Amino acid sequence: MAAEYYRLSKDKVAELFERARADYDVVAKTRDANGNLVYGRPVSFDDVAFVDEQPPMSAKAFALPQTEALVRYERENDKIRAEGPEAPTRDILIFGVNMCDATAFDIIDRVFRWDYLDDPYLGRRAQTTQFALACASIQQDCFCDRISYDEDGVDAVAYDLEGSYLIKVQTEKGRTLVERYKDLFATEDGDAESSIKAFKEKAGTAKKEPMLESAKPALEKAFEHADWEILASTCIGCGVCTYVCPTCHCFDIQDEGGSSRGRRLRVWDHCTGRTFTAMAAEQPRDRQYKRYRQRLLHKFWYYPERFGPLLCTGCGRCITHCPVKINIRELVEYFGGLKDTPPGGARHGK
Amino acid sequence: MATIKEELRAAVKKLFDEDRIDYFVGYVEDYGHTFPAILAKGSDLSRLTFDRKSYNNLADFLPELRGSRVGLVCKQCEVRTLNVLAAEGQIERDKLVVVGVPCPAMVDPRKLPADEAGLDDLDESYWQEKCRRCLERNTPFADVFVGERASTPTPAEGWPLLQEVEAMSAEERLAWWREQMSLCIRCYACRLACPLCYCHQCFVEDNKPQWLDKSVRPENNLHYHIIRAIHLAGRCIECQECSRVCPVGIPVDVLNNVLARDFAERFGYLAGETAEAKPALTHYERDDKEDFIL
Ligand code: SF4
Ligand code: SF4
Ligand code: SF4
Ligand code: SF4
Repeated sequence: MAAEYYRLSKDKVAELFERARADYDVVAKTRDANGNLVYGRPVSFDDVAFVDEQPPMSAKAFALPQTEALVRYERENDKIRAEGPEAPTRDILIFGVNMCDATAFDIIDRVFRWDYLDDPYLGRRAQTTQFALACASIQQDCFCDRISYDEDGVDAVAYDLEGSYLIKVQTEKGRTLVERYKDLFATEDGDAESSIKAFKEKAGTAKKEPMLESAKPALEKAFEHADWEILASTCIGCGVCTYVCPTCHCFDIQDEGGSSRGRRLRVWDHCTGRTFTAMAAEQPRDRQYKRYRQRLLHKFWYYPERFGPLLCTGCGRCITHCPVKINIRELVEYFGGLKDTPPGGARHGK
Repeated sequence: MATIKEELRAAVKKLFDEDRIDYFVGYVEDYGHTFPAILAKGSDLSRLTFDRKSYNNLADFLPELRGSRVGLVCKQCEVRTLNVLAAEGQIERDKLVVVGVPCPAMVDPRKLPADEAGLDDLDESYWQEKCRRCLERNTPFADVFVGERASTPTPAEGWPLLQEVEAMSAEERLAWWREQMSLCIRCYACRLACPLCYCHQCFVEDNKPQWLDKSVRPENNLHYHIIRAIHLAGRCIECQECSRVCPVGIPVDVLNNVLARDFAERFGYLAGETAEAKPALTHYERDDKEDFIL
């Protein structure tokens, strides 16, 4: 559908949140027991953090939960009862989701509807509406300004134009949201796209050359580059970068339980770990730098090769939360021929 | 007067020039962060630094570099790691060159202000928990010391979070841990950033038998943390790296800290306090207290 534009005055945001709770299971940014930001289910708008700040965990778990039962079974005498995965009972609205999280869903969708249709995932996606809040200022580790992905596929986006929010709606799900609470939205008469452009210039999120897509040709020649071993030598192989990433989607299938009852589970897994794919044979990448290289090249070479866009929204989480601050953007620039000096300066091999 | 960065760079250059080390593990600065790097002869030393964001316990990289002659920067609170690793046969102490530093106290990464211009002036309300209670800011038994020696700090009394947890009833405490465990994503960064969790095959990775289910649920997460804490009993040197690296902000080290204190109280033992100390749990002394053994 062609994009539609509306205005939402700032004092109506709380009402939108409260009323949406009648029709949706509303997810929004809020504070956990330790005061850290998370996507959760705040019970009132007072607990909602309708802000730019990014929670460490992205919103992907609402479409791809970290642990999900694909089958549950129970055996009684000679009868076996099996149940499939649980679908959400209500539609989900992710209220005030960061753009780098919202755009990620469309990227993961391409994998889960590629050759095999992944029903549990696609079912949840069909039930999820994103109401994104565009960031008013780019943060230190973010690089969404260097990745072509824009509002593509995001149901509705709010741009903070000082006095009120400009709302851009691009999908049927987004339109349903606005239709349901029509009285809260005003029509937008101005040149909305120019306002959005100006907003992004000011926020620092407007696109800047060279875009990271342009690194691919050089990356394709850099697989054997001697510097991978040196620059990724400090990677400790934890799961942080992949688990906080809104686009990483690898999983493992595990059985738990026994012959009388149990569950077959899908659980997140990560290519940077020592035991990745060990259940089939062994981790094929015998050194840590090769595991890190796999993560980077999957995002900036292998995935784009098959699906087009990058497997990265530039959220910067894998830099911020990496225990050793390995910087994916810097490494893509270096191995992708966009920059001459490696991050942290030239180092010589181990 | 030379800054600490300049002194450090000169000292490392000298170590390489005199062929005393094969590798140097230090902190470098780039793209607004300070992070570890493993350097070799010919590496660019111009980004070496030591500042208030030099968080990592660099001993984490030593078991992998075993066999080589390695230099490393070691803060006072981390130096005990070396004794534990040596006592457990993971490193060869005589192949290490320890570069000591005067520590300015680390700023809690969760409290880092967006504008880092005044980083050096941030007071203790911004510091990492261990730094508030730090008794000594200079690295003991360093082979090379850079910078001007730091004066003795005035430590804060107690750790508010720990006191809060200890004041809870058993039920409240279990509920508190359950809540914390519901946040855990089992990324295992706490284990991998821990210099004393160096096992090549951790019990969490075993699958025959599988000690720990892979599903991420509070019970399983707690199972992991309890076993890890027990494996670190009498070994944890309280660098607090496990908590620092946790992406979801779980104060994991509360468990380890309580166990470390038990060792201090029951055995008068502080992990890695001296190079000669034998690991407490594998060593028996005739006068070990037995009053709590059933
Ligand atoms: S790059 Fe960083 S976050 Fe990712 S596995 Fe390595 S150490 Fe962990
Ligand atoms: S690869 Fe890093 S920057 Fe890109 S989407 Fe994932 S976490 Fe964000
Ligand atoms: S505990 Fe002391 S030595 Fe360790 S980082 Fe803090 S101030 Fe520095
Ligand atoms: S680092 Fe935090 S989230 Fe990761 S396993 Fe440890 S406690 Fe859990």
